[in-house]
Amino acid sequence: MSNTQAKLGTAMLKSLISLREQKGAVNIEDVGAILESMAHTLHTSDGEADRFLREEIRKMAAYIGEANKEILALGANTQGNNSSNLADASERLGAVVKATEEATGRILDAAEEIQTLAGKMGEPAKPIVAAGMRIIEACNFQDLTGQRIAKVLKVLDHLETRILRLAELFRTEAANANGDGKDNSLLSGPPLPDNAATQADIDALFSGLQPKK
Amino acid sequence: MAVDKNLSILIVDDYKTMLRIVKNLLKQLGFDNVDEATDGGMAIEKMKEKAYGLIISDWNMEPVTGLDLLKHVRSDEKTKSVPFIMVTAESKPENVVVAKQAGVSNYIVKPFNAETLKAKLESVLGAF
Repeated sequence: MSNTQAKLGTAMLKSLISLREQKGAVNIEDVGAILESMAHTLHTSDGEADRFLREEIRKMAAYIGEANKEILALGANTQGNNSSNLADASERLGAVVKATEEATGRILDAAEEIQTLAGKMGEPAKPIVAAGMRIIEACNFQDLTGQRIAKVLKVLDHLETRILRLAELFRTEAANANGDGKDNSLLSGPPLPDNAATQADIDALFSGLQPKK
Repeated sequence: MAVDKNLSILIVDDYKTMLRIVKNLLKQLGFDNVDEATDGGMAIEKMKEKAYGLIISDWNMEPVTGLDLLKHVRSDEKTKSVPFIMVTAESKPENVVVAKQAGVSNYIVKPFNAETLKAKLESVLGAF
């Protein structure tokens, strides 16, 4: 590390500490401003390493500025309501789950009614009972779509939390990672159809496993 | 020995649609004595009140998962021998391994049909 680089690192740290003492916290715009100031300080230095460092610092400052704008835009309200864009997306997905649940309930009502009526008609109506069964089986879809959407909602919720915290960079809130002590690594939810194991795959694996002793 | 169609069955799933589907399929197979629970905790409470001859449970539920429920059932002297079938969208090999090690009687992956349910019931109860 060049002498200039070492001095700049120390200078940056001192600036950050001083700002934090003055303001109580340092935000991402402050970091960008410090970097701009450092780039300006390096302006008069001609060494190759220092020119490189100057350029890298300018790029970092520009990137931080852009990243800050993007982060704020993600959390912004452009929907004309009281929700952020991410919260609005979550609400819409929740509405999809609710609507599919209600529709599936109506399909099941009708299928069960068909089976009950056909059941009274005896042998000739057996194909109708069987068709009603296939309708009921097909309603599995609501469980799977509901689980997939629930997974997406969790990701959106996590993303929104992280973005808001990024926007308050350098604040001293403690991380609130998963604190319930549970291991959720086995809870992946329904896989995508191309990656899904069939019942035959599961049966082959299951029958080959030793039971618990 | 003939399978007792009056067997008490407990079905556990946090999706009401799935509870309806399983209950309907069981009814079609001749099993009418079916109770429902919407998560593992509720299932445990129901098991304190009634002895069940079969438990059919989802895995992915909160706060008590199907795996938690299975472990509870296998750890209780009164319920450790009750057949327990997991019906779940969790289909990775490690899930099957963990469930088997925890003592699951059989494993059905969603989506499933009546034929599969019948086959798995027969594997734990006997042919009917």
